Amino acid sequence: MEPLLEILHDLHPDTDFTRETRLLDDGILVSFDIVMLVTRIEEEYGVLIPAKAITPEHFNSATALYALIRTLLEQDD
Amino acid sequence: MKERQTEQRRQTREHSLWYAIVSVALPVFALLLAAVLIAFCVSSITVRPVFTIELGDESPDASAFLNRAGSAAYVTAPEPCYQTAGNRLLRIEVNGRVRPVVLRVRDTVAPSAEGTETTVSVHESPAPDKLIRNLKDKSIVKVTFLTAPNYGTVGDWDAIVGLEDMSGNRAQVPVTVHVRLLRDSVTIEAGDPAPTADDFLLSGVKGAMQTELTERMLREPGAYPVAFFADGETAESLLLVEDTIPPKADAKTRIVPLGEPVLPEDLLENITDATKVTCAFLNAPDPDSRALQSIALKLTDLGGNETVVSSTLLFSDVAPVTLEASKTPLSPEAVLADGTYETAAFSEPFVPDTVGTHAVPMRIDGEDNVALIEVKDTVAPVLTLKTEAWYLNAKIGPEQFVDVSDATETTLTFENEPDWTTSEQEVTVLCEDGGKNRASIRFTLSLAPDTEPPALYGVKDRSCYVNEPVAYLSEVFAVDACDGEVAVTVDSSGVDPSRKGSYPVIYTATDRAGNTASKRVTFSFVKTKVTEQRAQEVADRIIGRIFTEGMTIHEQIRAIHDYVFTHVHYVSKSNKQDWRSEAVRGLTQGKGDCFTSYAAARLLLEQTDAELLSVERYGGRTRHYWMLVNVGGGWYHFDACNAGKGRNRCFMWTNEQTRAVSSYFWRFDESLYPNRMTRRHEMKTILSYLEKQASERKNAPAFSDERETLTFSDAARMSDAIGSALLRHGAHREPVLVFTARCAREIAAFFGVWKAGCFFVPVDAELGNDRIRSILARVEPRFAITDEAARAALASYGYAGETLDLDALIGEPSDPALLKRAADAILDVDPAYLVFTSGSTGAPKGVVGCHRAVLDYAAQITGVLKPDETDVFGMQAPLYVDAGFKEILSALKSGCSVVLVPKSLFSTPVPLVNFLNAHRVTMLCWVVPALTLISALRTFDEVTPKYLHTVAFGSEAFPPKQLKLWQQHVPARYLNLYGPTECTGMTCFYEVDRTFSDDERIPIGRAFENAEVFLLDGHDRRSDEGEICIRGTSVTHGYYRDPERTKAVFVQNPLNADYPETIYRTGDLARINARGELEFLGRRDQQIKHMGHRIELGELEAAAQTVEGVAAACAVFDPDRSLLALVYTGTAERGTLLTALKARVPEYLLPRAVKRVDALPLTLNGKTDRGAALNLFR
Repeated sequence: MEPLLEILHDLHPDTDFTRETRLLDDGILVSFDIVMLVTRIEEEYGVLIPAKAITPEHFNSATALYALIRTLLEQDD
Repeated sequence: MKERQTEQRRQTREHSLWYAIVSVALPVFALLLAAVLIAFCVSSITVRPVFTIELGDESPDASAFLNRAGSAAYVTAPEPCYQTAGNRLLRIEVNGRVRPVVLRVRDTVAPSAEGTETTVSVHESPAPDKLIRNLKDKSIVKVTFLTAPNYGTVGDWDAIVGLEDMSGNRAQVPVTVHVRLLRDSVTIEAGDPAPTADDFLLSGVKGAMQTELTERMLREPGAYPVAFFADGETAESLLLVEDTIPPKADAKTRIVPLGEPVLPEDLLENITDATKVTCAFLNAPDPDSRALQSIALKLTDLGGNETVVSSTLLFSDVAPVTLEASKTPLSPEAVLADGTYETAAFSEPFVPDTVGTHAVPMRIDGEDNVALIEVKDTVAPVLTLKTEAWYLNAKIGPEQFVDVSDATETTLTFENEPDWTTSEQEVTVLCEDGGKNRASIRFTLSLAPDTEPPALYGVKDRSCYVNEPVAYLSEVFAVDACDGEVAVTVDSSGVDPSRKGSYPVIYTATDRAGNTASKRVTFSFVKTKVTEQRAQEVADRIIGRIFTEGMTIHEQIRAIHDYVFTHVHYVSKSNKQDWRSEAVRGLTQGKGDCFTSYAAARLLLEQTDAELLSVERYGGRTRHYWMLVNVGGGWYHFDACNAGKGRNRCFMWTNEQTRAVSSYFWRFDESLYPNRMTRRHEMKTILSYLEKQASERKNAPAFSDERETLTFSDAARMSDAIGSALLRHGAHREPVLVFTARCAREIAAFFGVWKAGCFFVPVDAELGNDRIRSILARVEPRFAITDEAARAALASYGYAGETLDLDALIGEPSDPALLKRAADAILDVDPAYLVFTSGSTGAPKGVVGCHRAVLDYAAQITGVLKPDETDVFGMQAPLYVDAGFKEILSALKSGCSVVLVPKSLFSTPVPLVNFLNAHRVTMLCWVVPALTLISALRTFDEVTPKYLHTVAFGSEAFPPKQLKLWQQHVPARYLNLYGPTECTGMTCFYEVDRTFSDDERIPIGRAFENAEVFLLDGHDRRSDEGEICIRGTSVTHGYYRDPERTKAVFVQNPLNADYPETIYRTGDLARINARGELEFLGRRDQQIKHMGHRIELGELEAAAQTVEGVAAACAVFDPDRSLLALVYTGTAERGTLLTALKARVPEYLLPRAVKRVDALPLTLNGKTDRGAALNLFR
């Protein structure tokens, strides 16, 4: 979880990612952050995030995003 | 730092002194003393044996173990970051000695977590860690129940979860557990299949539903109790039925016989919804109208969801007929059955020459009525070959070869383009008519060599002043049948301009085939009685009286006409040898004849920016003199003589107007003048296209957003209402702020502002408070069109003007007379819009674009993108910049439609592509990051856009790798567009016609047809590499209320010393590659392109420096990663700085990385070193 929070914090130091639950819905992660965010997650965790998973459901909070990464990691194992 | 250095230097000096004395005086003890000195040095730095850090912190440098400054290195190094608390024995080396030290890692922070409220089955007993979330601690945490819930017994139980980390830090978290047999409720959408017992029963519970779920329950929104027998007990849950899906229906066009009632359902078919739907008219059919009526119908379901469907209706008592197309006007008998009427006539003659269904107004037995006539064309066109001579190398269209006879409109094309350099070949011309019938004609095309010389125009005898410059070629041109306009040369060797007299002048023009035309005329040189200076003084005095501040050129020439007409009284006498002295005499003595009036007007008009030509009557026994004037919209007659024919005020008359008054009075040799005499300028603004589409493609969709679809006639109607309302409020050729959420109606508001003869200033909340405040301060608009949110925002800025609600304006009555007056007053050089772009000092610049340039842009952009009326644009661009003009103007010009893609979709690639497919989007003009979002995230593995055939991109370099991904998955035309806001939208385009390696740049290609792009080197010479400069109609008027910054970049063309010509210097650098294409190289200054927006790094720096606690700031941009970053010094926290910046700059200007440093990196010259600053982020 920590590396993910770090990636997010690097993108937006002014946001408390442990609390926010509407990152996409409220436009905190603005459109073109996504490419950078996904690329960095893929580098950090060594997973491929499928395009169809890029939805508010998975990207609205750090917890949800982390859950997605965990699921993807388990599928890989 | 400084003190420490001084201290060290002092110590070193003392030691050296001692050493010198000792070594000279007592060489025997030198070795011993040196050893003592070394011991002294070592003992002066002592080691702290224990250093404490908190678990999770990074391990310190070895120097942390020194009690004063010095250097040390690890011999046994710690791990970078320990995961458990405890003491670590390490060894460090200080001044050559190895010392043991202890790194104490302690954990003093208690773990924390949030409690939850959880519903579980009676058969479940989840572990305590499942009942908490957001567990935080640096080490491993043991989670236990301190008070366990009463699992297995139905009820609500409070419990306490205890946390203890490896260091013994503890915490308690209260939780609540609801132990249940059933879920409290199950929610379904109306119309969904009935839920089963399993949907209600919680895990492991066995049971059966006791309530029958009826069809009515499943189709009517509400909450229904559902009884169960579960695990041997009775229990109850709730079924919640929701209806969130709006109803759907298709429009059904109806022709209703007169007098028959019409119900809303009559105009709909295929009504589908899970619940009961009621239909109502939004606008009731007008039974007195015989026109095709557009009827809006509202469908409401039981969930209160609404859908609006637009249908069409026609009241008629004429049976519909189908006819073959013809050029002959139709007679009423053709559509009415015998004996059903006594008298009948069409209201206007109807010629059935257009395929389609027409509602044609008629009068039958004295009553208004309408006939529905379907025109079809089944007869193929007939082609006959023309018998004319055609020339080699003169490219002409197929219509030059063939006469067509057909009842409907036809298009002609070559099967294969002829080779214009071959004298004989077989050519086939193809023809298609309005009914898609085809015909072709094949013939032998013989192209003859050109033997005809060009025709010379404007060559005539003239009078000139001795010793003054003569413009021999002004007003003179030559046109060749083959080559078009060709150059004219002049031989004035026989002229002695220093002496009075008549001299021969010979004009010559030669075409490419070598045919030459030549004409000899006489130039009479006279001595002027009045010097140029004296004439200028007279002109200045009068101009000073009659011109007022801020007059348009049109108002100026009107003032001149009025002055001459009322101040030069007609007496039949003048000196026609010397117009200048005659002008001065007329203006000072107040009398003269038509020549005097002409000369006086000419002298005054020369003080304005109008283009002028002098005209003399052609033929007849008497002479007459007047002017042709062009102020940007073509040439018009200007005659201020107050004894003119019928004392008419001939002010800016067309040829037709002069002939209507007298066929003789203003007769002139038209061959001598530009063939540009126009009728009242027909297309001054792009609104002409809106009217055209609104009448020809009435109900075709034009602009759609998430809420509604505006047809062309909706857009026209709404803009009429908005324009009328603005005019009634007193708006007059001034800026009108348009500040709403991005929606289709905002586009209608733009058109409405134009209809009021004003220009719009679009803003959006996305721009941030400070940017909007500075726009308001620069523009000071008296009127703002807003929605509710924007109205509140404006009030908070202290905006003092009138605020008009967009939705309310749309409901206002339209006033055709007011609108016509405003439309007549507009000139095509008047401003159409004012959009703001980044400025380097922090103050944004407002670019003033005019109607003529917008018209030109519409022609150019559609010529490149080639939309037709079946196309759909998916629009990404915001509406507060000129980027959106591509789509809006394409819709007006070509009749295609534009769908605004919601901004939120540009974070979710799959739903984004699904949206494009759902709306059958065929064309995109997107910024590069929007396209990359799709290709870089492997979206094409899941979905691909199915209907796209044209993809244009711009704003920044498209990485060839991403372009290739697009090309592999989406077969379409790909175009790179380039252009600065200062030149009305885009200026250059390149259609991708080859593949690029990953390190190549995709060129920006070449300029649009009606613009020239050239490169200037450091000495303002034309070059193959240099600054991009643009000339043409598209060059905007400059920056609003900003003469200084306008002057800097809107400059006289340095390649033209002959007449005023403004070009725009972009500051962009480019080169021309081996293929003759332009390649973008970068910027001359600190401007960058980021996410499609132009950014001045200086603006971001200026904004950052206004934040409290920021001492200095430096903005940098890494184009490879598209990363905008900011380095700063000062006490402000990064988060505080970003929050403050959000209020100060537009969203796109917010840095994506921020770093605080002690000092900004500097170059040797003491300037901020951007390269070094950027390296901080690598």
